[in-house]
Amino acid sequence: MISKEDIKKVADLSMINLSEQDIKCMEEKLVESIQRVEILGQANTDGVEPLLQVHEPIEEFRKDLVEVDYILDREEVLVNTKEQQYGYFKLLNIMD
Amino acid sequence: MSFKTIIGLEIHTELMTETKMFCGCTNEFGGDANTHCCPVCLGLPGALPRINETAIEYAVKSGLALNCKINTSSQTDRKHYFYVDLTKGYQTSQAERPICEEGFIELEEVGKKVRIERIHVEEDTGKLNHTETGETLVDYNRAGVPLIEIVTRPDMSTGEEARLFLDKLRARLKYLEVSDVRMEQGSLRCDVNINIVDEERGLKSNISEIKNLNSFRAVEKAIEFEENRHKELLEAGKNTIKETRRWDESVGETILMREKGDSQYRFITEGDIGVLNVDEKWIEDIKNHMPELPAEKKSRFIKDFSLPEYDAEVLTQNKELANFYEKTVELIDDYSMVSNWIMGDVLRRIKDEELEIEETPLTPNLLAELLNLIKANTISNNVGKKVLRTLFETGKSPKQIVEEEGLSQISNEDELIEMIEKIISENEQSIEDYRAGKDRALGFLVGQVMKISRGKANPQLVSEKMKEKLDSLK
Repeated sequence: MISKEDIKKVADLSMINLSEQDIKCMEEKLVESIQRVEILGQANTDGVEPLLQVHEPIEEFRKDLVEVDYILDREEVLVNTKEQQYGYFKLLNIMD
Repeated sequence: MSFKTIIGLEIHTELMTETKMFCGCTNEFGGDANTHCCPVCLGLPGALPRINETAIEYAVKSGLALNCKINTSSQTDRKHYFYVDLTKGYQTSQAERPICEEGFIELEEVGKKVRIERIHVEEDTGKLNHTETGETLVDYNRAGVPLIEIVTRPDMSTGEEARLFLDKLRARLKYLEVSDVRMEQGSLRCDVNINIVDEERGLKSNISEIKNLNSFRAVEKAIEFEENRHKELLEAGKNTIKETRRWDESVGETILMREKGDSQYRFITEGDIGVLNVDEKWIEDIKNHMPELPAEKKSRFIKDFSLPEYDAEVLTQNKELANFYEKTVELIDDYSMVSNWIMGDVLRRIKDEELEIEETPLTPNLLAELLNLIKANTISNNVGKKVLRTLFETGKSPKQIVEEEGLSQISNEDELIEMIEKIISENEQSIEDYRAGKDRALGFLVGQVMKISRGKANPQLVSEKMKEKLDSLK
């Protein structure tokens, strides 16, 4: 069963800030959701291939050819960034 | 107290495809920042990835060369983490079902088999440049470049074994032409997982992962450093923490980067890409088109060129060197002479200068020209070595060097006899010694002629003529 600690951990990893109140509310909802989904676990899936997509892929592999038309101009690449320098995205130093 | 060291490696290799893993952007090294980008590799909303067929072919090739089982069906997964090196919030990788599994590389030198747990395909990240003024500049040209990650089992126990494994791995990938495997350019990156155990006392250190290793030498040194660090802690009754460390080449130490938590990546199936199907027919086809690998080339060199095993091993360690040898022996009919020269003066030179053979001015044509000059007695073996040194420095052809520096061997009899007479007239004692039956006197006199000719006289001819002259004086 999912615990408060699990929720805190996932929230941290997802960089979501949750208050104690939020966590309590989440706990109830998640427990209910997971219980519902767990019903599926009762189905016998021996020998059943995992399904990743419900539709057939249009083309499985792409040929290794440069698609110039899709490559963006640098102005387009940087259009949504607040700060740029010498054609780079500029951020505060984030050494790890 | 007997500690055993346990080492596993994770190797990332960039594949030399034309385009990126999931989009048609060029996979060319470098380029102006952020000019090899499209909506897919920038993770823009709505953009859909499409797998590069050649990247999969290269992954299968690598798997076959490393004795792996190829999975006809595998899948991609999203590996989530928050860092700006990728814009999507996750890296597309393979978690549960990788494309290749259960391979190995044999280390004959130490009688050990290093098992390979898996090879999976994934995408490279963008490049971050940290400036001195406290900013980070991000370039996404490398984001989405195809990678394979090769994960070994913890089967190595010394830095030397890790080094041997990496040498063999690099040679195979280079032979396959799937990657240029240059560690200093980042197209081959190696992380080390290491811990130590003392079975008698039931002691065991926690695994450290070491990153930022930019040469095979650094891998060896970092392993030695970590072994000692783990030992010292255990012996002091402490232990290592489960952590990621960074190798600092300048001080020769590893430095803590971060502690490792449990699985942090929240893997989920990549629903935008379907099952990765590689059918048996395709695998068979790739198998049939595999290039010759180092071990096969070595056997062939022994057979075709009658080389000793050691020579064949050295010459085939590196594909360029092997090609260089093969091209040279096409031009000059003396297998062992070519091999001796390459393994001697040529390899010494390129090792000293830390170059690859293809980065020097020496070509098979030039080496053949030089060796032919020696075979034709135009220059002596020793002068040949001198010419080779000049060639490395100037890039000039051997013929040109011999001509410009007047190094041709003197085989003109009149000229030689003149020198011989001069030496005889100056060394009466030696002539008496010769008459008294001392063979060493002949060697001395020949040496004197070589000296005044500054090494250019043809030694056989001098010896022959000197003997004739001395005998005629009896």
